[in-house]
Amino acid sequence: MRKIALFLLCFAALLPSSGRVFAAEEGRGKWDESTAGRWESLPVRHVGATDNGISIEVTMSPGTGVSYRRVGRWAAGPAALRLAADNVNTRGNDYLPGEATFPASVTFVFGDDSLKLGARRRVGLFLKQLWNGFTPSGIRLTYAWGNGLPVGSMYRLREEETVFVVAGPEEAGKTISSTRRLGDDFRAAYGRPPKGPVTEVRVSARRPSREKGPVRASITVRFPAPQE
Amino acid sequence: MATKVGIVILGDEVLKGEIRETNLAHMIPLLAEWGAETALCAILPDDISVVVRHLRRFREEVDLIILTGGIGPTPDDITRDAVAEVAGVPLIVHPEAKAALEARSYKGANPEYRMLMAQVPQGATLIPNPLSPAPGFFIDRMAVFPGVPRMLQAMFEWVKPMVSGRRKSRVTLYAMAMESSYAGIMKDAMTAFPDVGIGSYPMSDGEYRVRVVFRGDRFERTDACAAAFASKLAGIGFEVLRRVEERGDDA
Repeated sequence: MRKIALFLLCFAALLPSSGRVFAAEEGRGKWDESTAGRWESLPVRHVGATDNGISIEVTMSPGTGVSYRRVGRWAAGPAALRLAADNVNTRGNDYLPGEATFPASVTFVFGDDSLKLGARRRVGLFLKQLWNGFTPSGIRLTYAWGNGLPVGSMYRLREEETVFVVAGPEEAGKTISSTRRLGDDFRAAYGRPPKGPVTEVRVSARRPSREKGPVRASITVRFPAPQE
Repeated sequence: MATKVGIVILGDEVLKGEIRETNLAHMIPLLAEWGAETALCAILPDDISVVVRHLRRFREEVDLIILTGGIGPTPDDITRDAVAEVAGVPLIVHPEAKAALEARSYKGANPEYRMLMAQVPQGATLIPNPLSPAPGFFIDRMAVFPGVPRMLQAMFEWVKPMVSGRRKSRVTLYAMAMESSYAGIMKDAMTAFPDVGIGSYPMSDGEYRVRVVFRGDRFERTDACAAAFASKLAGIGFEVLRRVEERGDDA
């Protein structure tokens, strides 16, 4: 048993994040780039970072994905999102953590906040993440381009991750803009205000290998959103 | 090339509410995608004189009429007769359609009635049906498809080369405002942007109370109209919560 635990620890140490992390380059600013899933390659992409956000444009063939991540501490204020995708990922179930891979999504992590899940559940989650890739610790709100659930749906993907469906197949080829009040959305999802600030913003675009054909997507995030 | 298209659904079963019509939901977005404007839709009964009367009038208003349903082998399938009458030609047995039907036989099928599906108006072009040997046909600005949704969907691309036009731009705004609160703003926007069509649609459930749609040939103008409307809406205390943008062919 101790040998197995030691092996798992060594394995986990070799896999520190959900995907391979690449060094920062010009254009990405303070955003770290990585593959979105552990087994994916990077797609063709254009990135532009600003003081309060990032814009990415990707053309993804199956088996590719990219994620941009920035850490900091921000109040749970409004976030301006602009997403576009010319297709959806149809072959996964958006309800299942192992299968939910969105062509465009933005995740806000409340790293100082968490749920009481118990040691056994935490170990179970850890083992699943060894294979699927690690998710940021803390409570997460993800705004995603879903594949079937009605737009406007909110559901718990994992105990600590709530997904808001902002677009779906009917919006393919369109551009969706919205301003989300993270504090209100957090309250809607967990019935209370967040215990701490947003500690990480993650922008992801993924096309799993089980899909057919490419997808073009673009994501722009401004957080905090500029006051109008 | 057709820019204005009319769609005619045939069948008492649709008119009497016995089945739910789903073909329109498939066809209209595709026609819009291909740049055609769906100018009218009608559901007509299985009555030749009624269908003929309406087809004659519709043909004056649109460039192309798409008909679905009523091309089976039973006596209530009257579409081919009606279309032949409007085109002013007799029905004939199309040799290709006949050969296709003869090549595939079904146990229990009556060959005499089954062969009715090989009848098309004289001079018609066959529209291939990949799911069945019974084809659709095209004649005199009328394209006829089966009403079975799966077949229609498999065959409908045939229309694509016949339609043309510029796909319009569309901007849709979602808000929690009451329609009456912005009716004046909408009127102003319609006056300031006469080239942009605006529609307001209440929503009874979900996150938003209303949806306001801006449609125009030029994206720049459509976008400017929506932005002006959103700005004035903010001025009376309602913000746009979601914005969906579809760029037309000009953008």
